[in-house]
Amino acid sequence: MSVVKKAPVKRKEQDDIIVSDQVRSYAGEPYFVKKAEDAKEFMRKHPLPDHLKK
Amino acid sequence: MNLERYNYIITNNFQDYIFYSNGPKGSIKKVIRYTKIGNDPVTYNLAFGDEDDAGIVSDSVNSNNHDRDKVLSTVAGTINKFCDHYGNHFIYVEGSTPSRTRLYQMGISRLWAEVSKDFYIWGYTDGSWQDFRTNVNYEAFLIKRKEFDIFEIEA
Repeated sequence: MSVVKKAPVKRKEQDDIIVSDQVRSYAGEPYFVKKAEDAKEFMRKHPLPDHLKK
Repeated sequence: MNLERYNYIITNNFQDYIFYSNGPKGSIKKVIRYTKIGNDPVTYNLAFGDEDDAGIVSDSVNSNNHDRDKVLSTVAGTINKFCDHYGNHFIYVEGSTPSRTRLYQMGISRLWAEVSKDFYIWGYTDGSWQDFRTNVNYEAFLIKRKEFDIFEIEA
């Protein structure tokens, strides 16, 4: 008889990443603003089914 | 995931990610931004583009720098980092054009063996969200990082 088990996914630590306050925010960049608006509209028209929301 | 990728820089709010693609076309600045687009369920948009010398970002140019899998792997790495900070929420991805979305689909398919270890992916096609399959064209994708490996063992 087989038993279903689950264990936390093991991920390799990413240690070559720099977090910086010297990089500008792209929050107001028109390209990203439009992409977010388009995405929001797509999800409004095509929402996730309830079984995927859990 | 154990794929080659570029190092990247993150703004201290963990929403903007920058790296440089290096290849025959030179060094191309790539920018990724995560923007919250919904609360039920919490969903973020992942947008990705090239930044030119004037600071304008777009994805209208096919940079063709012979490193597409390394770039895709780098983007996947940023999803992990983003989820470390914000949690395992849904992440929406769509290209600016159907052909660009198709490029994303082909990229995910090529790396599926590795990508599927870390992420659930659904694609929107034929009027519904479906589990990602490697030979199907989609209009958009939703990604969610896995919390657990599920496997069967003999009792």
